[in-house]
Amino acid sequence: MSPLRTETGGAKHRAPHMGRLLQTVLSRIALPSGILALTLILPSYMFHRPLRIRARGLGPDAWPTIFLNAIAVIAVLWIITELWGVFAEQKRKRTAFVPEQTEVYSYRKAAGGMALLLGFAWLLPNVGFAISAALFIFCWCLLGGIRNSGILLAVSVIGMITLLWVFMGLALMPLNRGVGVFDDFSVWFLRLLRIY
Amino acid sequence: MSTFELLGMGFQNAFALSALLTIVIGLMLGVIAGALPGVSFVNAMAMALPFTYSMMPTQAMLFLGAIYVGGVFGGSISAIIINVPGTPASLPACWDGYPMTQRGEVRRALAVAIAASAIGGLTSALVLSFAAAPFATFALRFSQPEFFAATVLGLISVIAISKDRPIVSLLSLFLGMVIGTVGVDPIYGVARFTFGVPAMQSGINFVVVMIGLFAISEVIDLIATNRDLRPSKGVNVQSKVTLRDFWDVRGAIFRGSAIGSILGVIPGAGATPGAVIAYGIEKQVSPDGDKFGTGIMAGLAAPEAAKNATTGSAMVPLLTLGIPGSAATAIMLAAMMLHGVNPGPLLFLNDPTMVYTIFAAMILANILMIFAGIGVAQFFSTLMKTPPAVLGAFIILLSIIGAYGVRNNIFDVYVCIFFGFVGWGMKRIGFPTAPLVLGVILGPLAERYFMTSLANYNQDWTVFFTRPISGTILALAAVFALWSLWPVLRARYRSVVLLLADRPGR
Repeated sequence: MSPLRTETGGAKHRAPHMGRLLQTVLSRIALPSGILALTLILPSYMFHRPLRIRARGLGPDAWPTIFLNAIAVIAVLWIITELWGVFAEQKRKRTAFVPEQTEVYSYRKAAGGMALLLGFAWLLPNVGFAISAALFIFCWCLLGGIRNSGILLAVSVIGMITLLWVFMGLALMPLNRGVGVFDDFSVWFLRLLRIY
Repeated sequence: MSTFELLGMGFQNAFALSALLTIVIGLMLGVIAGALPGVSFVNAMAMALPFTYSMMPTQAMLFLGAIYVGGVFGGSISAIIINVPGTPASLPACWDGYPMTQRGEVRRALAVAIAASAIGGLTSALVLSFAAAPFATFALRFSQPEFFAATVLGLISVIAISKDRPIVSLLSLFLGMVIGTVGVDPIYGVARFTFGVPAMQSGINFVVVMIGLFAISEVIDLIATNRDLRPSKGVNVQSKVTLRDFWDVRGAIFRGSAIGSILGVIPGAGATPGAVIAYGIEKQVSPDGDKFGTGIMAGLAAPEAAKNATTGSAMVPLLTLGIPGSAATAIMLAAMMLHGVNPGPLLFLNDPTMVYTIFAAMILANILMIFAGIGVAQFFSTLMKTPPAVLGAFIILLSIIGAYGVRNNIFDVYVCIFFGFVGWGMKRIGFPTAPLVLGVILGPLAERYFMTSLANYNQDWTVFFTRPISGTILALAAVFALWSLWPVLRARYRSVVLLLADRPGR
C-alpha cells in the first residue's frame, strides 16, 4: 500500500526503537488519514448556497454522500491494513526500511517542470499562446539539458509556428491571443503567418 | 434478396473509387485525431460533420464511419508509444503496451495492437452485417436500471484491473466518482462542489482529467528521470514481429472481440467499458495474469480487440432503432437526419442498398485500417528519435491545447495542470490513477442512470435486482467481483493464519 516498503533486513535493523516504529506508522497512515479527513470536511462544502430543494426520494447530495462515505470506510480499512502490516512485520522481524524507488530521480527538475507549467498557465491568458508557447518550449528544453542556443531558438519558433498553423489555421481553434499590447502583437503575428 | 446478396451489392458500392477514397481519407483522419491526446476522434467527427453536407448520404456515413473506426484504434498509438491514451478506450493499451515500448518492443506492441484492433473490428462488422436485427431486439428491452447495471459492471472491472491492491484501487475509483459529481447535478440542476467558482458549474471534464493525469504527469517524470525514449541501440531479438506473436494472442483476441461485439450493442456501454472489461477478464483467464501491467501481449491484444469490436456493434441500435449508444454514433445519427434519412427498422426495407453499403464499408474500413495504422504509427515512431526534452515540451503543449479545445475554456487548462500535479504525486507514491479516471468517466453516467431509475420506478431501489436483465447483469458483476477478489482474499487469509500460528504459546 505504501510507497515505502519493508524488506527482510540486515542485522543492524533487527531491533527498531519506538521512534523508528512511530515514524513507520505515521508515514504509512498519513495518506489514508488525510483522505479520511477530506471526506469529513467536504460534505460541508458540497453546496455553495443553502439547498432549497424539497427532493422526493434521494436529493442532489445523495450520490456524492454515498461515495464520500464509501471513501471514508475504505480509508479506515486502509489505515487498519497498514497498521496490521506494521504489526505483521514486527512479528517477522522484517524491519529494514528501504525506499522502493531506486532510480536516479531529480526532484529539483520535477519541481522546475511544475514551476514552468504554472508560469505557462499564468502567461497564456495574459500574453497569448504564441509568446507563451515559444517561451515554454525554450525553457522546457533548457531544463531538459539542451544547451545549443541555435537548437533552442529553432525548436521554439518553428514549433510555435507549427502549432499555430495546425490549431488556429487548420482546426480554427480560438487559442488565446493575450490582452492589450500582446493581443495586438498576436493579431499582427497571425496576419504575418496568413492565419488571419 | 439474401444477406449475402445484399452484402455483395454493398461491396460493389463500397469499392467504387469515390467511396474507397472517402473511406481512406476518413480512416487517416480518424487515426491521426485518435492518436493526438485530447483531440479525439469524436471531435474529429464533429468537425467533419459540416464537410458531409456536400456529400451523398451514403458517402457521408462512410466518411464518418471510417473516422470512427480509425479513431478508436488511433488512441492506442499514443498510448503505446508515449503512454498517453488518445482516447479513454485506449487506457488499457498504456498498461501493457507502454511497458513493451520501454523494453524496446514498440514494433511488436504496435503490430499486435493493429492486428487485434483489425480482427476485433472485422468481427464486429460481421456481427453488424448478420445479426443486426436480433441484437437490436434485445437492446430494445433496456431501460434505465439495465443501463445502470451495465455501468456498474464496468466499474466493478476496476477490481480486476488491480486485484492485488483492491482497497487502494477502490479508493481511487470512488475519488474519481466524487470528482465526477462536480458541477450541476443531472436531476435537480443544483451545483455541487463548485466552491463559488462559476467555471466549475459545467463540471470537471474527464478528457481534461485524463490528459492531466497521464500526459502532464508522465512528462514531469520524463524530465526528472532524463529517460531516453529511444529503443536500445543493441539488436533486440524480441522486437522482431513474428507470426508466432499473433498466434500466441489468438485466444485474447477472440475473447476481446466477443466481449466488445456484445458490449458494443448495449447503448452507453461503448469502447471504454468494453476494453476495460476485456482487460479484466483476460487478466483472470491468462496464465500470465499476475504479470499483467508489465508488458504482456495478451493484456494488450484483448482490450485492443474489444474496443474496436464495439465500433460495428455500436451501429446496430443506431441503424435498426435510431438509438445512438455513444457520442460517435450520435454524430452519425445527426448526419443521417441532416441528409433526411430516418434510421430504424423501415430503413432496412426502404433503403437496403445504403444499409448494406455501410455494412460492407465497415468491413472494408477495418481491413484498410491496418495500412492506415501502420502509416500513422511509422510517422509517430519518429517522435521517439526526438530528444525527450523537446518531445516533452510538445506533448505538454498538445495536451494543453487538447484540454483547452474541449470547451475553449482556460479553466480547463488550469484543471489539466492541477491533475497533472496530482497524477505525478499519485505515481510517486504508487497510488493507481487508472481507477480514478474510470470513476470520472463512468461516475456521472452511473449517477444519471441510478437517479432516473429511482425517479421512474417510484423510488423503489429493488428495481435493479427484480428486473430480469438488470438483475442478471448485477449478479454477473457480483460474480466478477468475487472472482477477481478471490486470490487476494485467499492470500490474506493464509497470511493471517500463518501469523497467528506463529504466536508464542500456541
